Amino acid sequence: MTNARAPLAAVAVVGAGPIAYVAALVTAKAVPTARITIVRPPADPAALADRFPTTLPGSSGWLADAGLDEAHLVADGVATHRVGIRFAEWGEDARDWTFAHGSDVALPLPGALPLLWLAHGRDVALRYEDVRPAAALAAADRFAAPLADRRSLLDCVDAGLRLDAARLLPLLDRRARAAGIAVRESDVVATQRSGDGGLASITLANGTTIAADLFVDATGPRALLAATKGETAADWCGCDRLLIAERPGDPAPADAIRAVGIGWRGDRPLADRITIRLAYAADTADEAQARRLLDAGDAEAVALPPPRHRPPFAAKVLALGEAGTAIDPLGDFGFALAERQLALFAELLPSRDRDPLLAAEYNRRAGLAADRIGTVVASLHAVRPRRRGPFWRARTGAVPAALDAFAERGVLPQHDDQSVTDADWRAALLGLGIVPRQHDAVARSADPARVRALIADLAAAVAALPATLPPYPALLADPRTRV
Amino acid sequence: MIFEAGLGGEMGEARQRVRVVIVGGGTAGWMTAAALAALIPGAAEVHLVESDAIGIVGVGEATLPALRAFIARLGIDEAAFMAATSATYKLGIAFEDFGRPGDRYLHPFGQFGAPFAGVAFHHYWLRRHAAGAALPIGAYSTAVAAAEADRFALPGSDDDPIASYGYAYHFDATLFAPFLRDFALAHGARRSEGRVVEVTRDPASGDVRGLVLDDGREVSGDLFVDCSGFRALLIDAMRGAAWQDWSRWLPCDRAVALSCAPPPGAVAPYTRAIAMPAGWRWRIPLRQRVGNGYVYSSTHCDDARAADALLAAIEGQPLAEPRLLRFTAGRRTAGWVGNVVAIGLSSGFLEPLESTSLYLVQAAITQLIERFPDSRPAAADRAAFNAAIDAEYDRVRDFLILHYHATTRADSAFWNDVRTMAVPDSLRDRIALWRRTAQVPAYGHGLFLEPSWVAVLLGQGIVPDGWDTRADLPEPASLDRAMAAFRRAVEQRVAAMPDHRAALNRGRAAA
Repeated sequence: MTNARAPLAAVAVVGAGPIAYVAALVTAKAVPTARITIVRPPADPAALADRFPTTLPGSSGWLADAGLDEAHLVADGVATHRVGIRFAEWGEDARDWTFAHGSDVALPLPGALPLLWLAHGRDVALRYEDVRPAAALAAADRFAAPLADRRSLLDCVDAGLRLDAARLLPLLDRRARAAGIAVRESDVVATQRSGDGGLASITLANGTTIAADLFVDATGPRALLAATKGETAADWCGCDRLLIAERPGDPAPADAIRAVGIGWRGDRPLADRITIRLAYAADTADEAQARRLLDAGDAEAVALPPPRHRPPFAAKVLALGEAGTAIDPLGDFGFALAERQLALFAELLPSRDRDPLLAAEYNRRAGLAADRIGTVVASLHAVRPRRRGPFWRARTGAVPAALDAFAERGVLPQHDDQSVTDADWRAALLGLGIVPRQHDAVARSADPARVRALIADLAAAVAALPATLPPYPALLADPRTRV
Repeated sequence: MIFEAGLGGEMGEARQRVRVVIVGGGTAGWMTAAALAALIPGAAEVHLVESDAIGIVGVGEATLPALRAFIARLGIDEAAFMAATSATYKLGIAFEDFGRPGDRYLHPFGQFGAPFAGVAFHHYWLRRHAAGAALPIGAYSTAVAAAEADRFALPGSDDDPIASYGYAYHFDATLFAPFLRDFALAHGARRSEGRVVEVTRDPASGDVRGLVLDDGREVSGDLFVDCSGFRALLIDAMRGAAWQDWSRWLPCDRAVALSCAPPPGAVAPYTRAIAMPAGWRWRIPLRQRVGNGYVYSSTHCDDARAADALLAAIEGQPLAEPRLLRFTAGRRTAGWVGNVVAIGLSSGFLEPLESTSLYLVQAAITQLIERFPDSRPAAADRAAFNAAIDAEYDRVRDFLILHYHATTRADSAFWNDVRTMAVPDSLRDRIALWRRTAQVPAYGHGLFLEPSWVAVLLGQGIVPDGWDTRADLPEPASLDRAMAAFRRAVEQRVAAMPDHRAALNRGRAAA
């Protein structure tokens, strides 16, 4: 007896950016016998997940599938580490705080550190990030590879990768061609559906038709292969304009985002330059105002179409990036969602046959990932600096229900997807200044003097940590960090 | 309401503790008392009311690996616990005659084989099984192989698929509650002996204010935990705590239980669940006795026939008269309503087919501690508690129904009924997905994860006709070599283990 499921024989991936290449390479690895074609229409300037690819810790299994590794990418200036994001004048009281990737330090006491800190430690360490090693590094623009040693504070530091799309694309193109993937530069001018509504083939500008068992739509907001318009995204802060520019600057392991009256301004440092962006809404500011605030001469202006969510996998089309789920641009989490959904695709791996229950299971889990990441980003927006200006006053973005639970006692509701970990999210909510109304019972039962002493020691050690590490550019230049 | 008093002080100031009254001194009651007294002494004042006149059900003799975390979190020494409760080790459950008469499989605590190239082992196994080239899947599980050999050793590193199985215990449930009672009392819990004759409630909110005991004493509190078993003394009258009946899927509603003298020879490190004409029977090996019981559907079998069938099946001299237990499968719509939290049988019942009852108690305790009121029980906390516990019950429910439904048995009215019944949509879709693709929906939370579903689905004869297409990529010969090498490593690991009785004696020496 043989397998009743036949492997995918032909896969067509449509998209101009890294997501399309990564999807093709992941598929080639999982189905080496498949005929895979990448069709590259002109890039959509609003395809932000493709333009500012940033990974989350532990999310980049595709690197190996693509024959890439983190150390090489960093050494070649394609990737830099992102340990966190420094937010300035953000939150209800326009505070400065740091979002960072890492676990909570474990004290030799029952109870989680954030809850112990809330119950007893707030007069010893003023901010939770004062006892969070990753936040200290992000605040000081320092980084060191996570150390798997429980005695070291670096054991509690993690990082994603900021990828430089301009440098990554040629690399991915070479890998794709080497893997036997055909790459066609063409728009898609027509789509043909079969009787059951599934996409059967696509027609390119020169009239060529490509039939496939599975299509990947990575065309950004245009969603060229989508059968439906999709639903308007509710977890969106409301920026519909983006100015994008570049300036010279040193690499750094933290992004910097500052609330301004008409929206926010963000710095995304790459290996050899810094991408700067200003996000605003056309109904509360005009482009001239935005250009003055960005102060960067020849910035590119991008209008973002109304954000939409479409089914992640339907009618034989796997929709990745904004073609599937639009993620608010704050913090560049869009690529990470595409990565996560691709990992789920590779885990469940559809076959050539119709597997509606498998598609339903993919959609369930892909939806959980979208919900998780969308909710985390929405919560960064939900605590808003109203006094900062018209943009912030005008918007009353939906407050995720999870924030209510958190505001009660600092505990997040259970979520089956941990694309953003509970530890990172909880630290962010504490960073935003949410003080839960009740304290954790285990933490309350700890000896307050002991907790305070341990937290004071920890805060001192965390404060001293950045100075023990070289500046980030020196770390990147150190041949010992190269392979 | 007392919750409002004494609070609002500055951080670190002494706060008034919440007065917790636990009704019922069975396993659930004393597990709750022990955990609250040991883990949140600064937040809870624990007072347990029990009556010696009311016996405990005490048939929860088989446990799941999660119980180890409970014991460890309380700081209880494992050897001391095992000695006090006459515990033995448990590596899984053997199911006999479920899929069809004569079938037998083990549901182990642990995975089968090791994943390769990101694909779970069972996909490769299915390919070689279809070609007639694989041993039964249990051959690729250290827990199964050790159980079959009546051997036991503690597991090793989680990174080693040969060494990373789980284990649990069989123990004497009538000794566990007293063991925890001593522990709880030593950690500051208070105990009152007496029968609850009256419950006083706030007329407006329905919240419980206090209890009146049979000798006239009054017990007041802020938060009441109903561990009164099926009587559900407190929760049953709460608004919104209605019972959801699941007996259309889980028709067994009685059990007859009986201990017998242990047969000579090895002590099995696993529970046995043996299908019977109107249900199934358990066999749980303890150190000095063997626990037995027949779980049956009263519409398909009367009590006398069930008792006779059990007596005919046991292997040793009966140590007491058979005891009859009645129950209904289901759960409360909400386990935490107002200031009453139901834990244990008052909150729901799922038959012991997969030894889940103490796990469900433990899950409720963990959630209660996480959501334990500081100033007042908040609606968000109740909602989160209820959502988490509902998810636990619902996922276990589907897993249990699978054991009955996935069968070819047509030898009794009971098996005909369960084989042909309509199952919940969630389970129907799971089975269909499995048949087609060999995939099991993954959850980040919940009790039974992929290896458990694989064990029972395959064990009960549902062999998928399709699997992950990547499993077809390796050369058959290299796949066979890898599987044979894994099997050898399992055999070597098991050969180096002491037999179960020797392992128990070693543990006793350590205690």
